[in-house]
Amino acid sequence: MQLSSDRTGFPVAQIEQIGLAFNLLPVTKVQFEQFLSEPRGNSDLWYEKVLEVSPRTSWRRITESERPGLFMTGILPHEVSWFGQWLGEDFALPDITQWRQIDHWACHTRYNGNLWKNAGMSLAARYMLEEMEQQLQPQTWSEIMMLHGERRDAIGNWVQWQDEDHRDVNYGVLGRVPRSVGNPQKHPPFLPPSPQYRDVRYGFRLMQL
Amino acid sequence: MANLTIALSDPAAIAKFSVHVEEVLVQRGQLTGQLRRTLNLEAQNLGIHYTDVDQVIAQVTKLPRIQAAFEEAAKKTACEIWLEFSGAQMSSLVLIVDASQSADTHWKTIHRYVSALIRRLQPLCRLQLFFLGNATPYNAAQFESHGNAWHEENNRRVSLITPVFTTLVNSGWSEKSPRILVFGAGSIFDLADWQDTAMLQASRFFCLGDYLTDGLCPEEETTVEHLFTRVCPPISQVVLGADGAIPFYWSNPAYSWEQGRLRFTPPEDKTPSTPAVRVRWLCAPEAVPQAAVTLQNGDLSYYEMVACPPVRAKWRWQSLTREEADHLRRQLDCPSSHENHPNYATLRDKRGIVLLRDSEKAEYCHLTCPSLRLGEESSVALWDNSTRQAEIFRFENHNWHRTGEVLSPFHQISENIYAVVL
Repeated sequence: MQLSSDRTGFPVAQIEQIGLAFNLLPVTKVQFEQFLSEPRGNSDLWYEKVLEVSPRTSWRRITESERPGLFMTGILPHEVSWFGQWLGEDFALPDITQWRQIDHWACHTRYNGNLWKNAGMSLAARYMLEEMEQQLQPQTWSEIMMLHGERRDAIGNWVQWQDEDHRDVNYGVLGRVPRSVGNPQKHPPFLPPSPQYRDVRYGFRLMQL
Repeated sequence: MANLTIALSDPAAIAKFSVHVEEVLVQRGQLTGQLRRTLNLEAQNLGIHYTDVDQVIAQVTKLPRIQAAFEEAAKKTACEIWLEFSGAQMSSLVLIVDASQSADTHWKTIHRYVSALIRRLQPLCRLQLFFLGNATPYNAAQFESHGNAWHEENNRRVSLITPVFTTLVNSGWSEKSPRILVFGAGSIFDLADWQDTAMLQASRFFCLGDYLTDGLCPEEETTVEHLFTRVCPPISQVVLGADGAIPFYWSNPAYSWEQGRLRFTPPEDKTPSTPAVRVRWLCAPEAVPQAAVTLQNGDLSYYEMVACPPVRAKWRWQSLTREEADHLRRQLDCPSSHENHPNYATLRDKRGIVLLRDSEKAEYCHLTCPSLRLGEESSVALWDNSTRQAEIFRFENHNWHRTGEVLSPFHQISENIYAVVL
């Protein structure tokens, strides 16, 4: 595993065994806000709507109970694509197979915090990872990546796939989110009840293609 | 010396070199008349390879002969330097304006409020202007006219403080740096990321809507007048000077020389007055004049004065009456009548040092800066507003000293100009 950082200063993991590179953490609010500080059409009123569903936690004050508030959840797939385009042309939501590979790797690989400590990340990213490491005492990468199903604050990840006829792109959520999404290795993606459905448990991370 | 072989044979090059040396030394406040003459001679007598003037100056000023000339000149003559206290050094402010959608219904109020504040602060403070969510600084002086266009430009940004604070941090903001005023309406979403930082502690939030900081920081609802007083508490006194520094000219007559310092006290009748001033100092080598500013709330702060271009001031001569002219000539003809300063009706309301000129007509000039260089460069008479006397100072052994003497009546300044004290 190798770690680098994206333009927001947050870690991108490159896993040679599975041949994939992706945001190590679900995309955080402080990352997304770097995108929002450019005049691209996402206004105060839009962000207020998101924060109503997913209240914001400051990366300087992370408590166990408020930890999920760090992450940019409550967001819709087409809104994710705005951020993806800004982050870089080669970033996109994972497909089902890719996500399952990531999930499998994270749940079966022993955590090694030394890896991210030299990855040249932003202050916010370092601070966040240090706090989370202390709070979670991770055994595998799945815990610090907020994937682990036994934790109540596990975050589901938006995934995309194409219809068999390759006409439409579909979006759903994979992850080990209790009472919602289930085991990504066994279950198909969860389909939200409506295209405008925002859920505090649904976040995203992007693949670097 | 061997490496400085003769290369300045071209008179034009010598002249150019000399001018450049003078400019550099003037900027450093090191040029005196004697030194100027010495340097001109040296520039012509030394051979200097004229390729890099700055290197040449560095070399020349290290030469023992030049160093000796510096020291000799410094013993006898104070360095002349122009320094400015603009008042703007006193306070620098960062203004952060909310032009986001959540503040739309309050934009007119924000614009009016911030415009009024900038108008008041502009002469007194160095202002930096930002919009929430935008790292780019704007010109505060143009806010009143361009504010609405800038509102459009920033309206689609989200109310985030991090882009602005990050810019300030990257530009070297420290706890001693300017205070920050934020004007807005609607939540600033990322304020908590700066909790317990010096930057947030230096910030004041002015809520022009229903909420702004969501309880994270105190929000102030205030009038422009109240805010102005809070941000720029009125000055109670400004004192300029340093041991070993004598003012020879100052551009603001609201200052007066008292007890060895230049002092500014705002008028009690509250007529508008500014402490901004440019001063021509005659300084001992180590003297660094500074400004001590006392505010009406008792705070005392010290500020550096900064180098400024000289002010070209001319003596303004006005005529005496025919009777006064006759009287002046009689006094000048009779040395025994020089014991008293004259008592002319024209000069009745004048205080300080007045010059009298007897040429084709008799004239007077009331020095708005009652400071007068006497003879050579080493003596200065300064009118002290507290003692009502023009005390004489002399520069000896690298420093100014009180002589205990005062300017005598009809002190001859030049062939036909005399100084008197009223």
